[in-house]
Amino acid sequence: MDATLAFRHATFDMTNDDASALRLALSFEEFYRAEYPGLVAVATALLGSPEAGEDLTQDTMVASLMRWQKVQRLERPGGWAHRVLLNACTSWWRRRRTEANHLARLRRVEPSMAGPSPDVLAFWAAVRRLPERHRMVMVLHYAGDRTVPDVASILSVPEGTVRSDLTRARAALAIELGA
Amino acid sequence: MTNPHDPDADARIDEMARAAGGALRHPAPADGVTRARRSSRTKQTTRLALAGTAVVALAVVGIVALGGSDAKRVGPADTVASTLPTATSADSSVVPTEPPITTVPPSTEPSTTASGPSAAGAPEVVYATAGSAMDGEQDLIDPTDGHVIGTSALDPYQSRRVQDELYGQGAMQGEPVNDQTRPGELVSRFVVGTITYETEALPSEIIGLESQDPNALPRFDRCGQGPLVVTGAANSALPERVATISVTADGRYLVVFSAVCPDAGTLADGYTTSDYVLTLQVFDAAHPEQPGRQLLSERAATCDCSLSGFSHNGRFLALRSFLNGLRFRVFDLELGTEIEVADGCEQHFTTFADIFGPWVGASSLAMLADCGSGMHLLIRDVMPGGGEVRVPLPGPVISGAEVDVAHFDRPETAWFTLCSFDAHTCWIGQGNRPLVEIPNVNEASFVPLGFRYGG
Repeated sequence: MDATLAFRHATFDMTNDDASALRLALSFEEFYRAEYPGLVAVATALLGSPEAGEDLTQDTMVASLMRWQKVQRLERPGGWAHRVLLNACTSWWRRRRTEANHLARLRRVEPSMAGPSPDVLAFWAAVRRLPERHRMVMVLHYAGDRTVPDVASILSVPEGTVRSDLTRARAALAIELGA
Repeated sequence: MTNPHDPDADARIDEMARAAGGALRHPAPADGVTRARRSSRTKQTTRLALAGTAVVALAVVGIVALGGSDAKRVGPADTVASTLPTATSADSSVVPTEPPITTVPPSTEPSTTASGPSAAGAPEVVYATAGSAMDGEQDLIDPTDGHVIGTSALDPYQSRRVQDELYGQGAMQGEPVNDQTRPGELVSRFVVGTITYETEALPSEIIGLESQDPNALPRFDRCGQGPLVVTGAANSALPERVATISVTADGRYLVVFSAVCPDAGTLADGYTTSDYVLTLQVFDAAHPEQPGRQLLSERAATCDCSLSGFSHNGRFLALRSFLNGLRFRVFDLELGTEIEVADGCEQHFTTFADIFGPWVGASSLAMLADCGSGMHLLIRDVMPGGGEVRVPLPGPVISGAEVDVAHFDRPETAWFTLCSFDAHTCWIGQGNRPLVEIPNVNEASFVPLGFRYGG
């Protein structure tokens, strides 16, 4: 587990008082470094486009910065950012259907690194064909590296629902991918 | 044939998913925070340009869904000329660089004004969601008792139209100009009678100069300012390059935020690293040949601010300042003075304030204020003698606060929502009446949900 992930999980497991104390010291820079990897993975998995994933992640970070006074006080700032990102991804798909020009502008942003391998893209393409909630839990859990309780909190569903959704999603993928 | 219940298959998919997830995660870019900070400061410019695209459609579609008062609607653009003020010598005089600070007398005690009926009516519905973006629907809540009375599909276009119309009503919406000779730029046109103001901005959603259209960069100076073109008036006294301009909806005032950029060259050479002086000037929009009144002149490093929005009566202007935490600085355009609006308390923005400014009515604003004794929602009429209401927050961490602009009459009768992400609960209130709780939601708004500037 790298440092950023350790930070996130540590925050999640702390008591409220500990977490509050830590949040007081949480700078936007720390938040950015800690949450960026998971957010960009979630967006890329949902959109199928690393470039668009980076764009929406950056947009989410800008939104977080513009509301930083409020966001930094939240129990789970990363959870809030994931909600914003999920909404942005939903809006992105709507826009893509109707605003081709806008998408063309987004594409002008250069990716910051090489894209994932074809196998990885194929896996997430299969995930995107799952029913919406199965897709969301898979993406948040595996791409975003969020724990089951965290996914449950982000999606506002019981933890048991997340676990059963993950099981069903994996079963569907096993058939889809012939694993 | 794969058996979906095969535990080995499940383990293989689990392993595959972890690897596929890990392949998508990569560290944050080194310049990401810098780009985020820059982008957050230019969002307002983009909003002014983008918002104009929604207004024409809105004039046709209306906001029937809100059922609000027509008295608060923005008039069509062709009525602007008849409402132009007569230029006066006072409007044209140059005021001192350091304007006097006047303070709106604060209430010394929590508002005790009874919440009577609002002359602007009451909201019929509050839109709420758990915020999971999973089913694409929003609950319709009865604001009087918090009960769900229906659902409707999220419509981001309707959501944006209503936001622009309601919250941006103090400012004239710039008409977007489709100019093929200026690719890569957002060109906006403001028409005041026979005078036209045209400004240019770079699309801020394209982050990083290296990704902007290279043909556009030479039109901007190294402080990021684009040309301001005035037609229909000879000998304009306005700056030739501006950071942002904004015009009141009634066409009375034109506000310019600009600087004399210290470094020669264009944005193709990159942003300047030198400090420079930002000035805020207000002009009579019908007489751009007359000198503007200077309301503020501060070094960029200490001002660190940008235009935010006009009060809906066009008299007051809010700047957004990024120093010492985000806060608003409010100016009375008629008197040329800066007004202290938060009694020195720590300010936090309400839901749409970071984009549209703090204004919720003709001369009223709303913010979350922390004066050391706990945060409260402050709704205040900044006109001399104006009323106010202070609502203690129902929870320690409030993730959203919104005032119903469509039915706003005065602070004491204002409808509002408060939401706590942590508590997974929102509340609806009016004035000082007891709050109505909406459990199991993260967002509750008087505006249809589905779109939010900035993500």
